Amino acid sequence: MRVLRESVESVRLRKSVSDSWWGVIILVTATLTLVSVMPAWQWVWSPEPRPVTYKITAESFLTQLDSMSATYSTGEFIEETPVVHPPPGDVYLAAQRFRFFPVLELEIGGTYRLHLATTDSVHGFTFPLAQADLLLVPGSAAVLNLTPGASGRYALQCSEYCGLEHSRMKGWVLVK
Amino acid sequence: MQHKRSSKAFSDSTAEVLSHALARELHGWVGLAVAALAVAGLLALVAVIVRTPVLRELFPWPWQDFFPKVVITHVDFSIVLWFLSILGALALLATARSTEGNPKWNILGRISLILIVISSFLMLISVVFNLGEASLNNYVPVLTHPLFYAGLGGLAMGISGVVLRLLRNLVNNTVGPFEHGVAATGTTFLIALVCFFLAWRALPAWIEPALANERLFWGGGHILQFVNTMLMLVIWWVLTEQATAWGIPPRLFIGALWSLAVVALSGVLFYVAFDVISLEHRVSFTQLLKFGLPIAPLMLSFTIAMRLAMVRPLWADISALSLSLSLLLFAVGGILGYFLGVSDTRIPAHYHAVISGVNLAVMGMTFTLFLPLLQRPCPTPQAVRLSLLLYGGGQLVLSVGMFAAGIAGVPRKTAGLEQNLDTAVKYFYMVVYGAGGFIAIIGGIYFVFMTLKCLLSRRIGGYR
Repeated sequence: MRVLRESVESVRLRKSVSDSWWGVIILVTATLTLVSVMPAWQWVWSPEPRPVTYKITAESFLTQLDSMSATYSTGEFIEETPVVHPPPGDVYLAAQRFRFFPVLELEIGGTYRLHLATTDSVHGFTFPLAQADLLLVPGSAAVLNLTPGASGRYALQCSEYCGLEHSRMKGWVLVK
Repeated sequence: MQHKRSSKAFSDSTAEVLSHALARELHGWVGLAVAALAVAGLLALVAVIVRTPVLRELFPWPWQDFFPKVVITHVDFSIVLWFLSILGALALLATARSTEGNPKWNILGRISLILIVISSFLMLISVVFNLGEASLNNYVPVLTHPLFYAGLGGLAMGISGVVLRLLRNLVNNTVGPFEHGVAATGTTFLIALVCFFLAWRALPAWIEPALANERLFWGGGHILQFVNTMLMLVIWWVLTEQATAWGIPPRLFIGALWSLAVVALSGVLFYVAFDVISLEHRVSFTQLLKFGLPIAPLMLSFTIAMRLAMVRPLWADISALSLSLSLLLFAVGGILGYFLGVSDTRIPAHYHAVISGVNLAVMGMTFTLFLPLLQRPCPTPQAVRLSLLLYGGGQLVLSVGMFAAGIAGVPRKTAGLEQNLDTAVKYFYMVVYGAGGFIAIIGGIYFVFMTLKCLLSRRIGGYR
């Protein structure tokens, strides 16, 4: 048994690719190839939708959002944020230190155009339901197309450091 | 092809070229590194006191937002200053080895050391006197005050000084695998500084301090992770030389380290290609870590694991034990890094594991190389093994618990009620995390205590 183990170990050492020039060539080529095709990897792994953007002011965006909230409010709250149930079509969601509002209640199979904007500083917007990871910059709104397929309570989060409370900056979308 | 290690052990050949002046400087670098950990530990204690209900009332602190400021300085000392001081120590050893103890620009070492000590005090003064606002941005969190930034600047200049001394002395002198490795690591540190500078130049005037600091330290912070990894690989090389009959093949090691430096250099191009505020800028650096970093440590890990498989029993030799634990923690952390969430505890689980991997390597080298080189009495092997196992085992449990808690939805950078532990599963994983953290802290304190005691004790022999 001991002889067998020793012979296996000696073969391991002699045959080890890493002990040869081949090892160095493989290492350098693999590393540089992986780096040079980085954008391709990202595209293969997560083909994220490119949102349409348009210019806004914080006031004009909040006016549209308030109008939607006033018309379609359910009267309920989640973590002190009002829940709104708009019909399929244009819906609005704002990011503001350190919250997203309102909580949108959407219908399964409904087709929505989700308008997103920040009303103060730069925030990130990560929303797995829409496979989205966006940067929200003041003065610009992004539009995502969304057709929820299953009911549930879906979290969205800020993904760009925006202050001491950043880690708690979350929002919700309800699908019923 | 085999690369049998040289007839003379690494520590012996290094001791031969370490003059009295260089040994005193090495004492300074190692002392600074361990002191950084000790101060970070004290700051962590203050953070606990500030947050614990009964203690908070017994030791009232005059400032409301003191907690994040203590955490920030704790992070900067326990990660940035600690690792960069070790880089300073390794740069000194590489300089001494390549010049056989007679380096040019020698004064640069002492100037750098003094500059970094002053810089550390500047950062401490900022937190003690509650200067500026806290910014918990990634990699290098800061207090937004000129004194704190001056401290960071001084630290950068100090490390640049010893790296430049090394690069100058490599010209026309002996350059072995160790010297190549440290030179590649030092060069990557300089690339990180270039990234910080380019980010600072590109920051628009309109952005608020939180985002400005995030983007200022984002790219360079990622390159600093290359530096930390390369630092660990260099230490792996030394530990493998000490622990096994066959070291790491020199060509593979040199290729691995310089290929990482070339990958890090490509980060500079991102500042040309993308707006510093853009999403592309943010993603490109995380991609660079994902795709540029893993191959070299992976191949070296594989080679080292083959070597270690022949060392029996593994725990008897300090170099072999620290190397094995370092490989394990770094591998676990690396794998977890491919399954991160957005803002939950999976992120700290990943970096706690990889940083512990680096720490374990440094701990092993402190006991097997630094203290013997400094002619200081080493602790008993039992004591060293205990500290390594407590720290490594605790960090492993902590990381796994934290990762599971993150999957369950516990947010990062929160404490107490803010964690929202509303399910039994979340609660359980955070208990696992807490237990692991407690064990790791005991191991860490034990290491710092033993090392400081040795460094402060009398020499047991003379220098060259």
